[in-house]
Amino acid sequence: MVINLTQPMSDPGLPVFRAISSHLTGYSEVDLEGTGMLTDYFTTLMKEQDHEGIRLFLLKAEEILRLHLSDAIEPAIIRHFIELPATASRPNTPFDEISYQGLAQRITILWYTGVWTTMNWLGKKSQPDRTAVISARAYQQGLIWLTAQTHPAGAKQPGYGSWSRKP
Amino acid sequence: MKDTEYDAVIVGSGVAGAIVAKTLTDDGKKVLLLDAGLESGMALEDDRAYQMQMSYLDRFYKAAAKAPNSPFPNLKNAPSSDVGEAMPVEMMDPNTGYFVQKGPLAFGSDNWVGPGGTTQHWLGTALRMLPNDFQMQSMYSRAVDWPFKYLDLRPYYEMAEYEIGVAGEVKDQQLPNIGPDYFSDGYVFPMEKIPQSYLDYRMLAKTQDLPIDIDVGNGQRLKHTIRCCSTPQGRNSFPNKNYKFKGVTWDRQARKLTLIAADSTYQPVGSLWDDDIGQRCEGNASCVPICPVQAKYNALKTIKRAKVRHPRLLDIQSQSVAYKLVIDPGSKKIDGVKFKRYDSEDKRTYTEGVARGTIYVLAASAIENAKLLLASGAAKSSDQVGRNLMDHMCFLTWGTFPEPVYPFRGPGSTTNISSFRDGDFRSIHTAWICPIDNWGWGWPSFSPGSNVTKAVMEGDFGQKLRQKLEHDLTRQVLLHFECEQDPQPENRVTIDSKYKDRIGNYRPVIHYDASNYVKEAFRIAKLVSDQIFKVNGITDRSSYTLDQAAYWEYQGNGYTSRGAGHIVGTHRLGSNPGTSVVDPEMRTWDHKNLFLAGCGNMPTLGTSNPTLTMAALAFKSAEAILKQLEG
Repeated sequence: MVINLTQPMSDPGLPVFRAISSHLTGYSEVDLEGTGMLTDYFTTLMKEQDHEGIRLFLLKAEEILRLHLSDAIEPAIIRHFIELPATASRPNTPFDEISYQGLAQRITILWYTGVWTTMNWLGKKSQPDRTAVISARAYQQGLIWLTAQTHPAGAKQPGYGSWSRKP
Repeated sequence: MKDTEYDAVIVGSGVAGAIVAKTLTDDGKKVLLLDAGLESGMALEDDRAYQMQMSYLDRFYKAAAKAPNSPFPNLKNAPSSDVGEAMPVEMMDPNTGYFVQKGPLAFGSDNWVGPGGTTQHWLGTALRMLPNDFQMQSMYSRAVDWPFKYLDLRPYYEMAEYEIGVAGEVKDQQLPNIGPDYFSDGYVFPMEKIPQSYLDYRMLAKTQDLPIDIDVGNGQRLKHTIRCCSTPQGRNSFPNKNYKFKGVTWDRQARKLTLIAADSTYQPVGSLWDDDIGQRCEGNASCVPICPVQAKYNALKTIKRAKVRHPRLLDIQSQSVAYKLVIDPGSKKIDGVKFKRYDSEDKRTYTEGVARGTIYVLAASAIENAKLLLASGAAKSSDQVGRNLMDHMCFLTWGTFPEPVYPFRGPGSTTNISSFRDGDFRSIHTAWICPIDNWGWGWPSFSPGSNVTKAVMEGDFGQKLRQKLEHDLTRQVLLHFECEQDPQPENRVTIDSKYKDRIGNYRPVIHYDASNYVKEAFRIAKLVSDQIFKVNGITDRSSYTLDQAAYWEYQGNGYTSRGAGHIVGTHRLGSNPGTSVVDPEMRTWDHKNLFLAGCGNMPTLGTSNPTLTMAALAFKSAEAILKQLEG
């Protein structure tokens, strides 16, 4: 076997992606890893989003995560990833943040539903929206099913009569 | 020279065609089954059947909208409609999609053209019609009477329940005005009832026997006691040890079909690829559009039984789209079915052929049967072909239960409100059945996915998002009032040479509207729903808006109707050749050797999901075909 040493063994962005995903979804990093989708979603991100945008997003995420305390992290996430650019409190979005506007939301939707959407609810529209389930596994591993205290429709079936009991 | 190779040529492999094929081959008749779908889909056994199911499932998982046809290929050479296309008629482009919708309302139901037909995506609800459904004109001066009564159809219902494998509880079926002979003495369903859901029990606590007394306007009050019952379903549970039958056979002496007495316990029919799989419903909560383990009946199970028992009597020819009947100008008998057999899914190339038999049976769905008859100029003497298109017009109400009821589990519905299925009100508004749904707001608002998008768009993330979703999703409840549509001659399927598919076959042109008889039912249903929501503490979240496909305003309020997928009525049976297309045995009045099978035969719809009635009628017509073949 030949190991290509020019390729990094793991992407340094992955731990940051995992950690910020945990804050975005409300699920622990272990829960997220347990879906088996971490690498797939990171790859989806790299494929779907411009790389400069991702780089800046992860840099900002890293900066936010360094705050450590969750009561500091949350407001920072809101300020940098969630707030709409045109709110009264922030009439001007910093230039570097424009490149990843909506990305945190897309990542959250991806974890919950397995769907990647280019939908831009921030008011700018350059291309028609595209919304797609990225894979059969992604659908089945959506966090939404666990959140709703059930299982993905059509998979991981809980067995005869399970529906007649409280979960 | 007349080449009569087959006793019968059957067009369509759904439940109606499958039952006729099986019944005829069981009596030694030679049958050709023409199917428009892909050859690969006609996989009846072992690994091929398993691989086919896996490909359907994979397509379902990846579909952005899990619509009824989402797991199945929509073929350009044999298209199916897609409810996802439905929108207000004026917004639809007649040059796209399959149905050409002329309105004024959009027709919001689909069927699937392919192996097993729409039983691939049906929910599995297997209800008999009620006695008064067969005599709407004499009882309520509405619609038409059937040419026979409920009791005449009862033996065939029993055959249908055997063939489909219905799980249910007879004593739960306390239905309005059914009389003591609705079930025959000592009758039980083949399998025990499917357990009712936790959500059902929470709803039943305050809804069962709820007295209603409401002002419905015009100085009238509605007094009613709500009754709910468990829903019989075509999905596997535990065999009922007291079930008495093991099959259906042609009794030569008596010249009729009879059920065969069983000497051992009923055996549920498992999946096509492994009979040990699918012996019980496993709670996949995806019956529509696909049961992954095939615990839910589909027509390929019937075709498989026929093919395994009689490999040389049943020929199945796939990828063959019937497009015209050959009519003998003298005798008016059918002399062949012309078909186009396409080469592959991707290519538009095909070869033409003619299938010949003694008897012809069209079992291609209410819409496809009508289309084929119209394209052939067949059965036209009453001018009823394509007319009286009906569906259950569904009025949905949804809300938030005060506590978690844990939807998105189990079969789509396991309990229904049955007390409005018949009553004197039918002279004023239509009857309805109201299933209590187990899948949250999935139908009206694409939950749970849409809840995520909405919450995220509103700025929620992290723990707050997770808690909000859990709170909201576990409390979702949905009722849908399936209102019986009355037959209207102008609700119809027609054809127009302007609109054809890729290989030159007609696309159905659909004219569709709701009568005030139905609209009044929607109005009353909302008042009833309000009462049910009130006593249960449910916060109403229903909304009906102009941009929805079938929206109307009636007496100052807006309502949206949704299709049930119960497409019936386009070639109704009757006792009068002037007002019906087929006779009570489902033989066309105009062509002695042409039988029609399927929901198109139904003169009225009642409040039952029509599959079980279609199956019962298929046995009845198979019996008539055997009589005719045996002289």
